[in-house]
Amino acid sequence: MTLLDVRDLAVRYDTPHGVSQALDGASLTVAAGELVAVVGESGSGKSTLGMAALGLLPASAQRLTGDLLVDGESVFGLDPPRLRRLRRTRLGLVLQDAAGSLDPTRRVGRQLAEHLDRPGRADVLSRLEQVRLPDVERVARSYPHQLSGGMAQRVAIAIALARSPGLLVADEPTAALDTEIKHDVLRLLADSCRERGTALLVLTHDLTGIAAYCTRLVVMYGGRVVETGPPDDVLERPRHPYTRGLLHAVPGQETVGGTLRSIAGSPPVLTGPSAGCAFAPRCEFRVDRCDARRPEPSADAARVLCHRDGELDAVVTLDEVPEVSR
Amino acid sequence: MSGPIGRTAVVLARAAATMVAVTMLVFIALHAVPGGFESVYLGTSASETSHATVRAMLGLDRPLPEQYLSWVGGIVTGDLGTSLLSSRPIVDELAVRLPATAQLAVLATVISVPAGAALGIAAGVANLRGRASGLGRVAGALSASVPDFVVATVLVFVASQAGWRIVGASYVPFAEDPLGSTARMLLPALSLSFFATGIVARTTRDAVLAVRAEPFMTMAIARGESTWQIVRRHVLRNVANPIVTIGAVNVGALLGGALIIERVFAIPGVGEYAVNAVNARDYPVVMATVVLGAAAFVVANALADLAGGYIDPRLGARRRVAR
Repeated sequence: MTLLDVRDLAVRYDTPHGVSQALDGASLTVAAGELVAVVGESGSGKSTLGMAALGLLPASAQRLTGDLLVDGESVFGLDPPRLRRLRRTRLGLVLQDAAGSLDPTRRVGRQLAEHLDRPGRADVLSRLEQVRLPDVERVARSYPHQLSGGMAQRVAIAIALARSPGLLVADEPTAALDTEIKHDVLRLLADSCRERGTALLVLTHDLTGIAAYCTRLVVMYGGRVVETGPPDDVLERPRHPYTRGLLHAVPGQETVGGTLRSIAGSPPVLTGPSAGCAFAPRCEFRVDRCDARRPEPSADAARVLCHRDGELDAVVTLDEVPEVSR
Repeated sequence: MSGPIGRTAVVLARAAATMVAVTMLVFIALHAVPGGFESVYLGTSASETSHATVRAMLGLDRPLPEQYLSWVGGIVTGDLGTSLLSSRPIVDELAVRLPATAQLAVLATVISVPAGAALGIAAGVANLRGRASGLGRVAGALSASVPDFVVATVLVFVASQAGWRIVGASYVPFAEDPLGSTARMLLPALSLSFFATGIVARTTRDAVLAVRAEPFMTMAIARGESTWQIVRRHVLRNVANPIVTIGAVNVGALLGGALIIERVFAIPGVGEYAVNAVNARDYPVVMATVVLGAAAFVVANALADLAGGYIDPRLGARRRVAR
């Protein structure tokens, strides 16, 4: 069953500093219980997508086209009480700033308790145990500033999952954590969501780090979804040139003696709808039609957003990248 | 300086140091005034000999450090000196007047802090919901720029037109008739709190807007909490510290305002006592009332500092670290 349905969503921010097009026709569906990772650089529109799913776009954001549906209902059409109800019963959020996500003036046990159906001590402690926290008695009594970043994020996850939402949006949940803790927290997120049947939407820039914990990868670029699929497919047979570039830019993937390549150029800052393919200026395989026409997603499940999808496999494979190193 | 005990020690030490500085400044300032204490008695035409006699009588012939120490020693032991005019102990004269001023200041605080906090939170929340709080800003500016005596005069006029008979009634000590005393003090306290309410409201509103930018507020909204729940659970405690701080700072403004308000409403308070003492060059009384006012301000701020540690647990342990 489709839980989240993003249909050709375009969102623009109008700020005193200028206009920026964060989403430029993004489409994505998430089924109940699916664990989805949205991968993209800053500015790719993934955070805007995540916030839009919770109806949390700031006042400066303007929806130009498209829609975003949760449980078949547009979050843009809900009045405030119904939007609150949707958030309370069906949605959850975890942010990068774990310590800042908790109210600094109140003990974390109390903060967790007020979101439980039976807000007793035993329930608080068992929820803290569920997120694999040690010494739960002490943690429950602690103030947020007394916890490490990883512990605070576990508490934040426990609170976000308190009512077993249908969808949990996690925006860079581990970007501020130490490397060793990162994987523990990602595994916890994935396991907790799987146990509850909660769909997970992780927004991250760490393509390979997240792959082990999700059932589907979604690659975003320039405010659009450019490729999606099971992690193995995307990692082993990337079809969009941007995805290929990302994989080459990952440390540890290069062969001994090879060079770590980065994608030349920088991500686009769109001020309006892109005329052609947003990646074209940085693409090694660009042809004339890339600039002229907006690419449409491929007909298959991967929904690759590339004019040359299908042609490229004949040109190069991943192991056999072009000589030109830019 | 970690831990609640260390923090308390730091706050108390700072307060004590401030008071030492205040007493020194007051002492030096008033002893540097040309004319000297004795001329209050002697006028301008007295002879050198009579000057010397009176100086010796008042102990003014002793070295200044010695005079200072004996003055401060007196304050510490509850002896504020003797009025030159009435020759009575200042402590006795203050005992009659201090309750009136304290009642006025406390009542004004009790009005201004909750009223200002409520207005500020309302303005902050309205602002968050995208409603322009232009009205709040105008009201705030008005409260901050209209002088106390104008407010007091307008209130007296309005209340008397409305036939509120308490207006003309004279001061009754709180101890004799708590209810009647408070009723009579209401109008003066309202006039006095007008300015403070505006300041508290503006501080609170800014604090609400600052708290709004914190991630935990985004999280609360994302959890579907209602505006009222968000205010009660998260906003109140997080803006409490700025409110307590500004409430303590306002003590200074309230004491200053009390000088005028006591005049307008004919309340026999410390303010009136101090003004009369200045006019009569009753130096010991001036020194005592200035030190008393400073002490009230320092104590209020020390209490606010200590309360801050309980309100915000991060301050209780150590100074806030930038995140």
